[in-house]
Amino acid sequence: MSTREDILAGLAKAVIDGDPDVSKVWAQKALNAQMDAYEALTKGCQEGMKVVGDRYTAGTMFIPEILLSAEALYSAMDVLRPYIKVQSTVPASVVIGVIEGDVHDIGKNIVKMMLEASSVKVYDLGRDVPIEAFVTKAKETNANVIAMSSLMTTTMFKMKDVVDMLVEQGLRQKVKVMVGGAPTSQAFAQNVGADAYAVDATEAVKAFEKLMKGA
Amino acid sequence: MPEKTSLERVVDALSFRESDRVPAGPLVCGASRRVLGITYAQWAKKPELTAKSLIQAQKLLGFDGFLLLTDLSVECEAWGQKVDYPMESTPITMAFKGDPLIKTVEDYEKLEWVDAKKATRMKNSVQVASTVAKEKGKEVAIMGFVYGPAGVLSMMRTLEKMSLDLKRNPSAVKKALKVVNDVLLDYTVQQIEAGVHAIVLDVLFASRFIWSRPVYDEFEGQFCVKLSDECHKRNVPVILHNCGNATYFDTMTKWYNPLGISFHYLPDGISSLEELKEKWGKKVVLLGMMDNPNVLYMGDEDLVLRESKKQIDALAAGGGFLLCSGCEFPPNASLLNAKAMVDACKMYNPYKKT
Repeated sequence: MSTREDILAGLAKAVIDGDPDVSKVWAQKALNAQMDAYEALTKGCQEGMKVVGDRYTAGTMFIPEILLSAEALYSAMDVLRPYIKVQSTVPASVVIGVIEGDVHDIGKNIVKMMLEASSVKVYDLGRDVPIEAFVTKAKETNANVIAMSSLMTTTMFKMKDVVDMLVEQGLRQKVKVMVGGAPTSQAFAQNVGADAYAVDATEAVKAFEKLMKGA
Repeated sequence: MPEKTSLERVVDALSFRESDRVPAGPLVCGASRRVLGITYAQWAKKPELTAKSLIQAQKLLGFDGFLLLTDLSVECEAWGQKVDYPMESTPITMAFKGDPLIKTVEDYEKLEWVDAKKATRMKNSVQVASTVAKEKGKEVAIMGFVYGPAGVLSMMRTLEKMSLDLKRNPSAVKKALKVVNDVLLDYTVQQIEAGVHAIVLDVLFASRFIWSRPVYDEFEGQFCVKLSDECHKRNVPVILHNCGNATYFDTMTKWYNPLGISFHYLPDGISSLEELKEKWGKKVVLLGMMDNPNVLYMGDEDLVLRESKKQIDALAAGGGFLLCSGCEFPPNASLLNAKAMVDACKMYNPYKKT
């Protein structure tokens, strides 16, 4: 019989190793051991994803390995999710997508995964997302943050249209805005009136947490 | 002494000689359509207009080298990958919009050799090369462009799917890479025969933020080296382009023995322009590294002049440097910023004998 520590370590390792079959087994073991599913997610999978993020930043993990980790994470989450009791507080939420005209979404998908691993509710609008769709979805879901990305200079400034639309609709104080993607920068974020910029997925999670704390 | 031609100036830089000034290469490609007054879609589809735009842009701005890049979806079209042509943005593979040619792992095995001469977009690019070479080849440097095999394959599958496939089905991916590379070899030769002075190989995945060095070696280096070998055999200079972050200069030079590297960000393990010059400035010609989004797109002429001076000061001594944009000049940026790069090379001239 595995101990609680074994299970959490097993989940973390399976995520780091990018093995969806093994992560599923450990998730099931967590349930069999009557562990709290939320704890298994946050203290097992999430810890694994933190290591993945740190290794990516440090240059010891790369896109193929991260994508495998994502599969392992989602595989465990599929097992655990039905047993996660509704938390007493409303989870932070984000509407995420690649801005209109652009379809490069690999970075956005990695950010999405890292946020989900941090128990953030993510509404993923996909790629080539029209300006108004971001605002409409944020309104509909009461999202805390809109996160947008672009890989092209020809499309990046459309992010400003989303910020402008939030202002026009009186939502700017309520909805924070994060931007990312290869051509973007802190200067670009300031230029379009965004609240935060993140250079990669690990930084995106940190930036999101900062926004939630109002820092 | 008469001013050198652009071509002479570039040859000096590529030979590690101090010329009459630093050559300017803002890599104006799609942006040239605005000189001729046509849409992006027209520019990308009609080779006679592409060539005319590029030639007019060079006449207007005075840059020292043409980069014959249309977009990264030129090669993949040869296999039937659908491409979207927005009116005012860069053409893009429909694989990124949910319609990849390679839908399953089995589809890798179905890729077959195709005749580059008959593929519409590659044929058009060769026509552009031929026209530009005929009209400007004696005065201005002309660089052909080939996207590496891994990049081309990703345009038919997506990088995300391909990165997973190479972990789970490496042999299927490699089989397709070989097929793609064989066609790219023909395409490279055709551009050389059309009269380009150098070939730029885009090896984007040799970056710490995309693939590890061993994965790069296995899934691009061992194939793409045939393209650089062919160029070397024909005495055509090889220039690598990689606008990714933290690129592997060591891995890229190991495989391709390039004369120069065109780059946007500092390479992996290098933390300053000075360190870059010291470690790499005598091994490869440096083509860079004006910041596309922050300087060339969002900035104004003053900022471009300041940044250009900074780079000339740090990198130009002894030749072996071309002031270039880190990637294709932003297609919708102010053309005055491209001109400012040329002006900067004239104003800040470390080679001028006093």
